[in-house]
Amino acid sequence: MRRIDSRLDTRSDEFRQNAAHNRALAATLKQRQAAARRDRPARDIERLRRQNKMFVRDRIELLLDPGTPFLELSTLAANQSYEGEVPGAGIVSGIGIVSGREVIIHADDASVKGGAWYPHSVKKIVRTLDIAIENRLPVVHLCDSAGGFLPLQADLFADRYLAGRIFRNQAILSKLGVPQVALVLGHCTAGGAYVPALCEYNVIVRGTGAIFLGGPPLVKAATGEIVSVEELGGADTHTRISGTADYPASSEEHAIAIAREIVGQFRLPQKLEVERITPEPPHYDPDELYGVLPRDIKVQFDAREVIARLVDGSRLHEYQPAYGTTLICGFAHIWGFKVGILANNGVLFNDSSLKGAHFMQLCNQSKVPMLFLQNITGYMVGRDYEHRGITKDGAKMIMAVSGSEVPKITVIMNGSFGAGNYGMSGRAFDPRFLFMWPQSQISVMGAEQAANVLADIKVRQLSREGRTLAAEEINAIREPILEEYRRQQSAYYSTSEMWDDGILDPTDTRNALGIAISAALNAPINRPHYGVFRM
Amino acid sequence: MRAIFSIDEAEYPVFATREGHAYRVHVDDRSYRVGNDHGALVAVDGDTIHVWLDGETLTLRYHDPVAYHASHADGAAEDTITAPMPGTVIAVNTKAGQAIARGDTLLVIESMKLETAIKAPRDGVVEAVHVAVGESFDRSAPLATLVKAEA
Amino acid sequence: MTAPQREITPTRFPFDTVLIANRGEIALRILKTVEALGLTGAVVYHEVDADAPAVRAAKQKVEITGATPVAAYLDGAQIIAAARQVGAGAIHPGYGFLSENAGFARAVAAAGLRFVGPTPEAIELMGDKVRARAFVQQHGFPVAPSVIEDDDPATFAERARAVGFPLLIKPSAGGGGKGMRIVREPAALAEEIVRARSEGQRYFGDGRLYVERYVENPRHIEVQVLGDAHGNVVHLFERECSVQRRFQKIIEETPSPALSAQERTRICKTAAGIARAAGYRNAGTVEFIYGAGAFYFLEMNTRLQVEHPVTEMVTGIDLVREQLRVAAGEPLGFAQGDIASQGHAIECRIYAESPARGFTPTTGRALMIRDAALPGTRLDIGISEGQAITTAFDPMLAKLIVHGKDREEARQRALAALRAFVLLGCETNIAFLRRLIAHAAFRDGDVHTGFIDAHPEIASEPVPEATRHRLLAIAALAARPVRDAADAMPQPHGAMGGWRN
Repeated sequence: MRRIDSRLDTRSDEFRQNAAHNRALAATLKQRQAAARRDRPARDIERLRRQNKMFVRDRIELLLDPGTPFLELSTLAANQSYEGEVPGAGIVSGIGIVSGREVIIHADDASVKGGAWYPHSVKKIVRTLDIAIENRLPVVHLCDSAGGFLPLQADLFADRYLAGRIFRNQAILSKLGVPQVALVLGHCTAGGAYVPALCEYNVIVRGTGAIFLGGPPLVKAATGEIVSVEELGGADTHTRISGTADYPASSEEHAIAIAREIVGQFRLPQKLEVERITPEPPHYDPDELYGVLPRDIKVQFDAREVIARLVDGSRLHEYQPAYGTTLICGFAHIWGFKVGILANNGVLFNDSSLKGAHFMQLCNQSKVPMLFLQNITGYMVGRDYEHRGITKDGAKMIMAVSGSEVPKITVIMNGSFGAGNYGMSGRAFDPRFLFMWPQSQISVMGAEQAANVLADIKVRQLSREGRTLAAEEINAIREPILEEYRRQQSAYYSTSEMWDDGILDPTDTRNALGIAISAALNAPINRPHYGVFRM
Repeated sequence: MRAIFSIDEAEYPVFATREGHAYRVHVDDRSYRVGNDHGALVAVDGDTIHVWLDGETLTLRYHDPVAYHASHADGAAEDTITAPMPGTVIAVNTKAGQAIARGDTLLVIESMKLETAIKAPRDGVVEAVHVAVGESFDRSAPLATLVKAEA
Repeated sequence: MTAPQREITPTRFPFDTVLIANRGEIALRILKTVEALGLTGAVVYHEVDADAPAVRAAKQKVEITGATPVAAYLDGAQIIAAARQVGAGAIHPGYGFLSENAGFARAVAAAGLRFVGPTPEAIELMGDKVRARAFVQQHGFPVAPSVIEDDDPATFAERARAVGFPLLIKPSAGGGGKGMRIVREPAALAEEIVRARSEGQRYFGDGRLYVERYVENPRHIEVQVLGDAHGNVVHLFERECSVQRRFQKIIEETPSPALSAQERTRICKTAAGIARAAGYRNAGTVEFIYGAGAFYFLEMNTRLQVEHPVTEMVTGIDLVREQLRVAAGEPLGFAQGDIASQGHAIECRIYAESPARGFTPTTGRALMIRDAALPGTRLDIGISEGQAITTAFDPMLAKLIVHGKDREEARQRALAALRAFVLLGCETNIAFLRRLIAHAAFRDGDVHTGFIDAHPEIASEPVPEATRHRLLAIAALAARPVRDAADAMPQPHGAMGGWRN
């Protein structure tokens, strides 16, 4: 495999300005993440202390094997909802190593609104368990929730993929033979009671943990019975009398030690026989990624320069190097794992679409996981291309993506607009993980374009009514649309809504991918099976 | 979570990772590469480890994390001793205020023609005995309570 | 290089089996010589010593019992019966236990067996410290100013006060450093006399006392003597035993760094003279207190001493062999002029104790023993690998003896030997011994009996933090959970370390 020959001039003004810009964006990301992770009102921290509870991140650090990485997902979920008062949607989720095993963690953050489940919290938990199912990852639940946030119950209860889906997913995980362990570190009330109940194993802390379908106030209201928390659903009730809980613990540290021992009992997964060689860091400095990405989304860059700073040894075996040059296809290694890479280098044409569909089949044939590096404004439009079947060719890409059985991972490097998102394995096409970069944008079309279209409609409508608008008036219509568009296409909006699994600092991407690919390989890879490719 | 080792009263959190053919052992916030060439001699006796290097010896104890954290926490549950099964009290060997040691027989109960000695789960002082000879009780009924232990 | 062993015409022994009435390192050491002479060695042993090296090595062994393990080794009748049982013609009592019990020596003779040691009369004479002192003084040898209670019990306290302070109260029937009390303040005298009497009664069954002037920071110098039944007495030079703790010796050496050549000659001649005057037979040691250019008779030990190996290393003479020859009735095979001392020897006593915790005895199991057997070293060890170390007996586990062409070479060899010797499974004083020998004062030969108390930091000095951490790191890997966790760490995660996004 040949090393990519970088043509980047790291001393040019362009490079320097890009780097400064992107470094600043990365710094902002780090600050916002740090705030979402740790900034809490003093009274919420104080309450935890009074209740003799540990802060969720301290629990996680104790749970994880020391000296191992932790890939946190959707740190900035709900950052643009609920007036920013529910950082991370009150849930911490991520992939880590516990007792030598890859697990995914779902942890309620009781320092955020008492750990109440908001609609975004439910979505985040469901997503966490979807990842567990798709990748066959054992789950550790750190339960400490006040229950569903009642004022918004309509958005978290009744529908198919809302709260009930959490428990359905738990049941399916069990059916698939993927074990779960819950630590009951607070009250598991009503639906929340099912989390430990649906786990293969659970641990409950005496004095702070409790499981009940209805708490003492509800019980009193319902039947008049007066009963204490401990007697209703405390550790001794459930570990000695009802058998709902398996291990009593006298402190959170004790519970975590027990949970680690439990996870240590899990069968080590038979990892897929996927090619893995000794890893090698990229030949080019990943730090240079900051200089590769343009400040203006309309400016093109060579995706090879990105690939060269992500893959082992910066080595890439490029497929069909002379054909369909707006889509780079090739094989490389990331942290030793062989991957097939599809990266946009411009608009998708007929040839690049065909190349992409073909390459995806090659990856599936040899069980090679695929990495999609998106920077796509869309497919080529125009008469010539339509006559040559660009719509059919785009459909073929979608068919290939949808029929793929190998794990897919998507990173939106820059723009992800319109149908290009689909063929390049956007969210709807079940990549195991999807990440954004801080400057990424995602929407049905570019903001300028959309704003122009919408303003145009408005102007023509008004002109039909006999009004002509001056330039400033047109602007006055256009600007708010543009602003709203920009907000809703930003990486921060996407991650708030959990259209992705998190925004990554570009220089963190290599590690994130290594962990993601490793996690993905816990699930079997079936024979690929596609629908009909419209030829 | 790190493993805990103690040397006399001092405790050290420790973990190890592989480093090529050797290991890197992290003690507190420092780390040491330990290969096969360390030149030390080690003798293991259960959870006690003796090590010699260059004329100095050290004895340490490994603490299983579950046992360690269990013993460091408040043993509240151990305060009330409950009946493992329904039965009748046939002997009461203790009373309120008595100091008892772990394993002391506090009561003897009879159930299904079997006699069972109910023993103290830890050292302490009996706060109260809730049953008398001849009394019958249900499973999980409280039989005796110990004075809450100081942490 | 040690002095060469002397070639002597092989002795015809009137016995073919020797019963060793002792344990630990000395039992094994005696056994070695017994077997080297072509004789059969037999040992008695209490059950707790069943795994001891001497018991494993001996061709014959007889189990003995007692209310306590120590009591078994003090049961003369049982021991004599054991000797009969194995057909032993001689009993070697070692040191401690019954070695200085005149009654036992008599019983052995009465049983028709040879006691490998002096006559019962010599034992009795020197066993009574007051009598011994008087005897020595009568024969014109120097003794420390003292008063004896027996002389006039009523005025004892007053006469004691006249001796001057500081003084030492000693039990008449005592020995081996036990039951002695230093009194520095006149006001404390009365109380200390009461205490000492009570201890004398308790440990030796005899509450009589005598008082001696106490020499501050004295040096303890002793001389090895050897006599035969034909009236020949020689000395085998002196040993310095000043490094002590609570009157227990820790390090011994020969020659003494304190003595000039003339002083050496004088003190050795004095010792030989005392032994000759007492008609002494077999091996013995005359102990002196030396201070400010003067020396005084302290006591005579009528037995082989723990520290005899240093004498053997510089003279090339096997003292146990000489003891057996004398017991067989042979005359000494050499004259005084034939005995030369070459080079310098140092002995370190290895104890199961914790210097940092006031030298309290420690227990455990000898999980691993490694003797590096460096040149010029000798290890006399009394425990086997795997043997339990308990408080049933005295905590001395072994002696490490080194020889060099001069004191500094011996000292360096001692440091190397202590650094290389491994005993794992029980806390010992080995690191403490090394720090002692490395100390500048020891290097300069500046030792006295108060040395250890004067330098408490040597005992309390902990393992340096960096070494402690390193040892901890190595030892931690021996714990399966730690190692298994490291081995189980998946890749590529291990290579990423504690990365967070």
